[in-house]
Amino acid sequence: MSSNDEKKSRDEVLAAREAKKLSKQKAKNKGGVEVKKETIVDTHKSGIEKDNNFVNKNELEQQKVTSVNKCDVEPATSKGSTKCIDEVDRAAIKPVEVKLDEAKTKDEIKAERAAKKAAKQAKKRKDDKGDVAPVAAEMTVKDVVETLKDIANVAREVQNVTAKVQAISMEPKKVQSEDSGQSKAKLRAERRAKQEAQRAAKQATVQQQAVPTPKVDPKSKQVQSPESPKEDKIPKAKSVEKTLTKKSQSVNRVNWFEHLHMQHDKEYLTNIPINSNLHPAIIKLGVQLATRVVSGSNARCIALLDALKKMVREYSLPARTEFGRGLEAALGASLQYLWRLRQPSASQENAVKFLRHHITQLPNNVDEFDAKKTLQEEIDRYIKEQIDMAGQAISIAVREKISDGDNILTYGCSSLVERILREAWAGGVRFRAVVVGARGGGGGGARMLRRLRAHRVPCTYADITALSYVMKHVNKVIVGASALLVNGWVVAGAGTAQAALAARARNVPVLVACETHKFSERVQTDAFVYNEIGDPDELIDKSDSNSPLKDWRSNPNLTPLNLTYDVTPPSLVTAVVTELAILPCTSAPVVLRFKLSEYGV
Amino acid sequence: MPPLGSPSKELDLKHEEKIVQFVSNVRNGKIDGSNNIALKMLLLLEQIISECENATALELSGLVREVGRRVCRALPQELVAANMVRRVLRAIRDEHRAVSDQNGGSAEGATESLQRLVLAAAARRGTLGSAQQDLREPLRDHIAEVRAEIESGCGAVAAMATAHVHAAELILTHGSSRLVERFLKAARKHTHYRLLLAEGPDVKESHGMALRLSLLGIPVTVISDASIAAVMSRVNKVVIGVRAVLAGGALLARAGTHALTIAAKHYSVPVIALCPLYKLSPLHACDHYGFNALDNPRTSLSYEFSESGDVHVEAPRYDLVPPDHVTLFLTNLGGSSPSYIYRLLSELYDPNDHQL
Repeated sequence: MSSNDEKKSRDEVLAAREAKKLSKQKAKNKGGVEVKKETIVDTHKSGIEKDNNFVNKNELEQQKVTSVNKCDVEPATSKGSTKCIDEVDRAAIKPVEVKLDEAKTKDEIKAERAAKKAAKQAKKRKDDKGDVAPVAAEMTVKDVVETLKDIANVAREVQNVTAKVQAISMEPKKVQSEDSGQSKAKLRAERRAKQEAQRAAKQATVQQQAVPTPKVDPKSKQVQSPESPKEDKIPKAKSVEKTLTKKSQSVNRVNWFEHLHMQHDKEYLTNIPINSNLHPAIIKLGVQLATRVVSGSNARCIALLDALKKMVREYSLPARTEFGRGLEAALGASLQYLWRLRQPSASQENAVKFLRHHITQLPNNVDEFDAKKTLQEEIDRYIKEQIDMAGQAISIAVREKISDGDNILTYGCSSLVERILREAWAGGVRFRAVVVGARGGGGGGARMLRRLRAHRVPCTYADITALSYVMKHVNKVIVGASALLVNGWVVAGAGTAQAALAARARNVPVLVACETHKFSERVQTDAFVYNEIGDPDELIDKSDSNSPLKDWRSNPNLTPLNLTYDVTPPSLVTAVVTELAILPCTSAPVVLRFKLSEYGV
Repeated sequence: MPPLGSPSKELDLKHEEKIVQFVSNVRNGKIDGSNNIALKMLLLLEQIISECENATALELSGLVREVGRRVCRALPQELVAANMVRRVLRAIRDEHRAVSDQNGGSAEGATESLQRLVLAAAARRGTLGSAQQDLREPLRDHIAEVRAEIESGCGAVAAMATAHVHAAELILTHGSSRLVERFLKAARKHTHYRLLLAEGPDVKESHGMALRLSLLGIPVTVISDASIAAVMSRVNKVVIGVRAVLAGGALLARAGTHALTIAAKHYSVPVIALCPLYKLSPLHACDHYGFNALDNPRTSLSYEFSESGDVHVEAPRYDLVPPDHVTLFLTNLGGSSPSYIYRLLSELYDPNDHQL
């Protein structure tokens, strides 16, 4: 299977395709008016697409700016983060690209498709009319602007679907014309593409019965025009790669972590089926979670709630469905997608539980607009009370425990600890922060250092290997947590248990700062039953081009293991600082029961 | 008191040059690894002794002690070099005693025992100085013996691997160490086990070690130092290499080892420290600062990081591990517990030479 051959055959195919297209266009030229219309549509479409990207980026940046204080998203000024964002955007588009298959001579199906669609939309309009009109009347100007923004997103979705539909009808022809120069891998890849396209077609039919309202808008219709032929080659090459790399991946697993194993290749993202029922904000969040652009317990929770809010706002109720039930179903599908990309943190689980609780609380025959408004308000209230104000209360409580001249050790990066130290320093307590970080992805100490330095907190930095060396001069250890389990164990970033152990060896008090929305009903007594495996490549020194581990994928005996979390037993934790009180770890069940009686979640 | 109260001796210019050469080689990393340092130090002492004009016991011990002082002052954290000086001093004493025993005919010191060590200390002390014989020849034999011991020491420790590693075990080690690598290779010949390798501060070296061991067919999992506590509950045994073992059974090892042994102690995982005899040092340390040196801060925070300019960065090179964290020391002579180290020390060195 020489690559040369492949190229040749591909070139030939391209040439053939080009010729076909030309002839078709000639045939069309007879009806000149039609063509003109089409070109207009084309330009429109590209404009929208640009807008679309722009909006995406803008949104991300806005989110970042607002969340810098609250959550763990990197500051926009740093080089690394902007790069990450670029990657996300690309990644977000990638899965879409893969599914776009050979979009060749679209024009011929176009006519029939247009006819089909027109019929469907007409039918739908009849169905929806009752609901849509009053809602639209009540929408505020802001809402309208928001929905217009999202039209662009939805438009792209539609475009995907059309491409998929085209792929089906084109597939048989293509296979025939190409099979002379095709390798086995290629054939396999194509077969998969075909299956995918069929699946997509099914989804498409489903989707067309339950499309959100903005789709009726005339703008979205214009977007169904053909793809540029440039994009054609990309997906095929990728699927071939995919089949090749798949064999080597299963070897390098640590067998005692098999139950946790997740693939960290870019292809993993492309394999996740994206249902077009998913809201674009959810899809974006999924990619952000998987690529760890959004990381940290609070940040993940806020991002999730934000995306769910958008979803609720733009949710359109299918005919003859109760609002609560319809939304519940849509929520379930979205969460299934999100959890596949990254397992939920305790904070996210609690947030979802809270939202579900409020959805079930909705009265049976509630007005759609009112229900949406209540839910959005509840989400806002949750973010404000459970995360923001809780952080403030904890910050005040801990500040009393820090005195002048203290050395406060903290491990890794926690938005809450950062807030505590920042506010304590601003409040006039003169202490020194000892930031401990680890190499690789787990630590985040460097990020913490950067944030604290940005607020002029005097800092000492040490690697985790120097932990027991610096511990002698430390007066208190304050760490953040990812979850507090009901048996009192603390789940936090890998290395926290190590810091707690070193502190215990020197009899230094360990405070865990943790809002009650991170308390979890789960129990666990070791770091294996539930954990996440980070990107193994983070362990490898990237600045060193001939690092000994660089070929680990080809060596079945060599496995870099990058754990994300570890658990700290309650015996090593002096106290947990929550917004309710400073408690021992063992009071976790009490807090959970209190919350159940107070908030119902 | 410095034994014999010997005044600091003037050294020849050529001797001084050799010492400077040795010290700079160690500092520049041309001689690295405590095994090499020990051998080179021994070579230096041998050269100096063989060039000595008046090779009486008193003269020689003064000379060797002065060399030792200079080297120790220049390389305070290379305890192995000082150990070699003590070994040679001990040899001079033994040789001198043998000679004077032959002359005097008393059969003292034939066997060593705890009682004799206590009682005979005073008698031993006064003996230097009377005999005027040339000790160079017998000393050369002694030094060759020590050298042979150093060279075979690592092999002897590694040979014990089979007795300490059982099948399907999960062994954790920290950082890179030639001795540990040899030990693990020896164990591989007899049993199949899995290895967890925590990176330690020398990332590149430990990754290289992981690669070499994995090519031998040992399943190696590389973890970062942050995950040590997370995986410790699964580990069967911890095997570490040491920099030096101190008098009370405490040990000096690469930074991060203390955190590792704390975790091991918390989960009651046995810690095996590999230490050939030349690493035993009769000194005491009470805290992390005694025999420590600071590394380049770059090792923990890259200079490219913009905040590295205005923060204080701590990067110690060694960690002191207290004796109660170590289960077993494996020396050339077999396993011994930390509380037994004092006895090994008294066999190796003369108590008068503990302070050079």
